[in-house]
Amino acid sequence: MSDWRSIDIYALEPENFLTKQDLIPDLPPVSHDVIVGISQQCRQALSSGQFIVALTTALDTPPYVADEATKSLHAETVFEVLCSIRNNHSVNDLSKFVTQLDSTQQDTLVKYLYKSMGTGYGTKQGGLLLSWFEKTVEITGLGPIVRYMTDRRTV
Amino acid sequence: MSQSLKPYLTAVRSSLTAAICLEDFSSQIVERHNRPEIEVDNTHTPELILNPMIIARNENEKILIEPSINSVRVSIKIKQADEIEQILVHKFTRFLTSRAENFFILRRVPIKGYDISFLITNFHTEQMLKDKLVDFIIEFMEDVDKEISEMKLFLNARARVIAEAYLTPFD
Repeated sequence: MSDWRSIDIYALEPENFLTKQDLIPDLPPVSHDVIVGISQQCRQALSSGQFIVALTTALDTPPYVADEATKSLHAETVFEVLCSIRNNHSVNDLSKFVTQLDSTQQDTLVKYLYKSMGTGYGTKQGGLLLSWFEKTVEITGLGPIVRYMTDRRTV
Repeated sequence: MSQSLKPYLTAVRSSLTAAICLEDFSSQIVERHNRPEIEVDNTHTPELILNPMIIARNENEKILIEPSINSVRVSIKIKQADEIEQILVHKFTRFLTSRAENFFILRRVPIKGYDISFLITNFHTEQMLKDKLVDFIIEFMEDVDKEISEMKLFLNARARVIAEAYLTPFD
């Protein structure tokens, strides 16, 4: 027992502490196929010009409990919708889209904005995401940011 | 101020304002210890760490904000377009971090992948005004870009003068 100082004694009493698994919210898991279906729905709505329908469809069904691949697939779908809205409208029109969302959808939008900014494709389109972020926070205030930080239902 | 810088700084400002909401919090593991929870190993207390935020302007300029219950770690990646700027940023941040005691919120070692890190704890927010702390970080981000590009211009001008002086005998 020469290395006794580096023994993790707290691991011997796991019931005293919360683990990362305990923090995962108690929600039904979302399967990959459902999310693939939603991304196709969004693409169809985008190609027929129904931008707000695509946005609400994507924001209503975030996969909170799912594997990484599913989550990033949905993040890419949301990112695609945001890009296509921005490319077809001016910056000032974004506020109109944000006001049409309810508060849960606005919270989810902010979650996805933060998530996309952390990815490789998101950093390349930083200006686009930042203009979305600016317009959203102008309308909602700091509430969604605080809820993003504290919410264990991560996207 | 350029067009894309403004939304970047607004996003950083609102995220920091939301993140710097700290309280005194003693360690749950070691008795009579009080430490910044973001800095210690949180395998047994994952509930104290909040979701981290990344705000990116482009690949070269981004900021990582890691909030926890009693501390926030803010890491900045400063724009580095070429090798000269890389050297200048390295020297500049080394100059600052070696004097970290005088800056209070400066972290001695930056997080991997970033150039400079700040660590704000609840003790800082008790002594200093939160809005001023946010202003300081925003101002730092504005000034550091200006300073680096200024230094680069000076460096080039100086190099030109030196080259001329060396080459006059062969004229």
